[in-house]
Amino acid sequence: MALSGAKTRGTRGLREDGEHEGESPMSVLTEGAATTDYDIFSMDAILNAHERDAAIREQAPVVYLEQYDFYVTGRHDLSQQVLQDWQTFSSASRPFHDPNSVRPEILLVDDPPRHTQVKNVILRALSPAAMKTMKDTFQREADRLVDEIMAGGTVELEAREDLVGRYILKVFPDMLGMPAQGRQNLLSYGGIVFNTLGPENALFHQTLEENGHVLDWVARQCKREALDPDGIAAQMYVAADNGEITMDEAELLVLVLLSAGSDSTIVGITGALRGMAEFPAEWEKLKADPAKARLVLEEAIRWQSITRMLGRVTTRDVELGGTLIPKGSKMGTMMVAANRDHRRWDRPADYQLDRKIAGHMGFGAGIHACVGQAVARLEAECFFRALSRRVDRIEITGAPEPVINNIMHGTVRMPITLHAA
Amino acid sequence: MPKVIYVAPDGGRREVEARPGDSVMQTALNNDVAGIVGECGGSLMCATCHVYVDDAWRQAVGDRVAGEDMMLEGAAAEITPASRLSCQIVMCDDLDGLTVHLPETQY
Repeated sequence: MALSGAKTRGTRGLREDGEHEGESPMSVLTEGAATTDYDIFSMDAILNAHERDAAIREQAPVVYLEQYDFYVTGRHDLSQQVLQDWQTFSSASRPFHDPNSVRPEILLVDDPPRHTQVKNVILRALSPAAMKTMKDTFQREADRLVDEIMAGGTVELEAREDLVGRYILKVFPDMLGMPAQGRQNLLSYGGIVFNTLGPENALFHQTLEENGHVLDWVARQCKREALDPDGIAAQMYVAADNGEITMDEAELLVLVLLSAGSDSTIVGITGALRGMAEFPAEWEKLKADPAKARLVLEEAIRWQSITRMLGRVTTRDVELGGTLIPKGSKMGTMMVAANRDHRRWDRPADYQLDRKIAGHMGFGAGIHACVGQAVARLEAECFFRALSRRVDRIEITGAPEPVINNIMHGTVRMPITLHAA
Repeated sequence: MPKVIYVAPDGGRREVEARPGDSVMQTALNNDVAGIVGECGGSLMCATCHVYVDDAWRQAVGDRVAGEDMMLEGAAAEITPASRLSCQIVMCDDLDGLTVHLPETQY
């Protein structure tokens, strides 16, 4: 591969006298950043993300991507630093930012205070307190589906189509208050959302050509009249009625709900099934103590990060890991790499249910962390509690297919056998 | 280094040293204090680092931050006026000896 570890680049954008904005003078920065001409959004990179992103992580703390003109880090500690410090690493822009995107840009490209006001509306609707009221419903649906699937004993199936997709496309749109028809479109839309967070490459155009027809459908589902007034999505409009946000913002928040809670959650839970199948001792631990169901997804999205990269823009000259990044630079945190950084994680490539998992960035980190994380946690907890009661062992019976997407990462299809308990 | 004292529901006490700047949640995780989970990693998006600040320390610790009430509503254990999310309490020398009581459960 074409990683070029020895190359460095100058500290573009710095003043010659060495004075920088910000409080602390920068030192040891004259070497410039390590660079690479490797295309991190090539098919080679997407198909081999664990190896390629790890190579960038090990090349240097911060690496400049020549092809795309931005900096990335694959280190766990530096990624945490970037994601926690929103004042320095702003979301006002990011690599490949397009204000006219078909994605909802609300929340993703705001900083406080407006970000906080808008986020609180959706966060309240998806909060742990709100999820307490959903727990019985999610568990009932998970039990019902697993009972149906396991009714005839040991069964062969495709993880996404026959199991995880059926569960999530039932409980999540039900919770939002969406009609039963057309829910598969949420998967196509999820693909568009994550692909268009990356560069305008062949995948970007392909996703719009193949799935663009769902955009009209998605837009119609966001209208107030399309939503069950008792569902969670309609609460966005109630917040607008109350003057907390505008009607336009309410519609965009519904679009956020539709964009982020289906495809990505399914990939996350499918990854958890894969982890449990590849590390069967962990499944034994879950069967012995179903309370561990809460931990299954948590470790899965560290082990197989759903998002490959998160983007930011620097608001000042800043030193990161010994590299000076000039003000106004775009940059990315490489989550697949950071979530398996051996500096932070013992045996990072192993799926371990009992790992001290706090500090993983499977949901991102900081103020822009996944706003729906309490929903995903509850969905997964109920799902794996149900499965652990009826399934003795999970066996992968064919080659798992990787997600092929600029930003989303993981397993899309996986033939499995569920051996009856 | 400032110390934090974690008191378990059964009365057991753990006294640990905190790095100034670390939260009470992070300090617990760094020292394997049982009873603090910290699912969201300190992003104020869960309620699994819930503690009850000892009455003697409530004034020094100060009020809940914006957004904390909304998350605390989702806590598994009872919420009292002493309830805080420990990811939002940052250790400093003024808080040396801070005592917090752990709830029965975090989820």
